[in-house]
Amino acid sequence: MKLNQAVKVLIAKPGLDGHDRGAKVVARSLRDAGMEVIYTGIRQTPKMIAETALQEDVNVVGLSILSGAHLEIFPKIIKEMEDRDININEVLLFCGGIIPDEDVERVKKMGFHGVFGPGSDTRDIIKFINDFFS
Amino acid sequence: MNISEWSQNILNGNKRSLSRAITEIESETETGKKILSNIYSSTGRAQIIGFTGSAGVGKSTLVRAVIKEQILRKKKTAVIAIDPSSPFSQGAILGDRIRMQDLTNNELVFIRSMASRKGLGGLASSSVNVMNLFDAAGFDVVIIETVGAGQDEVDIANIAQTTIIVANPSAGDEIQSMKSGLMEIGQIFAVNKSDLPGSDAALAYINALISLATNLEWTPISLKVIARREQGIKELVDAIDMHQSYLREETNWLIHRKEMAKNQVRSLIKSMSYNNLLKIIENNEITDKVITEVASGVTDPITAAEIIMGEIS
Ligand SMILES: Nc1nc2c(ncn2[C@@H]2O[C@H](COP(=O)(O)OP(=O)(O)O)[C@@H](O)[C@H]2O)c(=O)[nH]1
Ligand SMILES: [Mg+2]
Repeated sequence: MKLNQAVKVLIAKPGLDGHDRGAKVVARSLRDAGMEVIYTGIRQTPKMIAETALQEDVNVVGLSILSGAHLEIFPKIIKEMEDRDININEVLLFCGGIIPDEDVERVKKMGFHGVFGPGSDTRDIIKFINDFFS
Repeated sequence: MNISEWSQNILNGNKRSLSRAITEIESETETGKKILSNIYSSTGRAQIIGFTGSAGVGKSTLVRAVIKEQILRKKKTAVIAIDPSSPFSQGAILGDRIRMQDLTNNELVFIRSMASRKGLGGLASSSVNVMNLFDAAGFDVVIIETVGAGQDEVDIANIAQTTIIVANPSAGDEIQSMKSGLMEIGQIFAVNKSDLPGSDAALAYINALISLATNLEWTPISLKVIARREQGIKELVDAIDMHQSYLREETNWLIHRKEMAKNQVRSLIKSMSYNNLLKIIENNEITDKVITEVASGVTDPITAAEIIMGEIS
């Protein structure tokens, strides 16, 4: 899918954990790769994330989660996005943080095409996004 | 969905339609242009309020406090938060929103971040268009936050109906620089971070500048605020309303509408003609020849520019 403007990315942190170093590193490297990045800050509810995606009309949503609540929270976020008429096939979803190996398939099935665990190279995330929009 | 349905949905307050239309406008597409011309006759109601000042003075924090006050007053409020694009990567961290994020779910609020990308139309023209969309979509107040530096911001201040210049107590330089031009573009001066020492001195300095500026029709209002503690915000919003009532008195409003229209059209013409010119110049043999001469020292740059301009007209 080609865009006629810079890729706009939302980096959001759902769940209760308060560590956002990783999210900020990703945000900065996407900026350096020419993308326009909005970071929500920590402890966002599914409603807040979906509403932000709606108002900002982003092309990409990246979720960073360390609390282990991904299986519970991710479907809620997708539902809130769909409730707002956001077509999740047109928005590229990825996630990072701590997603145990046995959950990766389920998370991908939900629509998160990219899963980037701890120690992922930000260049892989950039490539993942650029490939989708080329 | 066809474009007239799309436009109607915006006028009916559909957020998804509005949000997607903003993207079209930002990307300067034909669709965006058509939507604008469909909705334009519904504009003119909203208060258009600009917040400007250096990075870090607390504009976003202040805008958040102002939105909260507007919510109390039951005003639908939209924010266009502009952050600079990186000159190196063209990317941007749009960092204003995080300061207001707790208001995201409020039904009366819509926040949109924009990078100051160097589009064809320039920043001022795309923000005018987005502002018109919000206005037509029924927002009572449209706030534009920009970093105060350079021509883009002066253009935006000209487009806003009421511009608030935000300063800090300690930043001597910043207040000094108010002498050069800021007096003319601001109707309200807010000394933020008044919890820090020096706010009275800063206010006194601004007041002195105001009293020296004799050629202003509207005498600017100055006040102290503490955005982080939401102090002084009622007074600030009252000051905005005061300026708005002044503007909207019959005779003033006609003059002002015309002045705004002139500024908007002018800034569009400026960027359109500049871009057209660039296109012509870049595909021109004479240009290449003359520039080669400048590079080798045969012709000076001013003469070169005159030759090229003469060639076009
Ligand atoms: N002491 C103090 N700090 C403030 C106040 N308002 C904002 N700040 C801080 O100033 C910094 C920059 O604020 P921000 O709103 O992002 O500024 P902007 O770059 O002008 O939008 C943040 O750390 C704020 O917490 C205030 O009233 N007092
Ligand atoms: Mg800001």
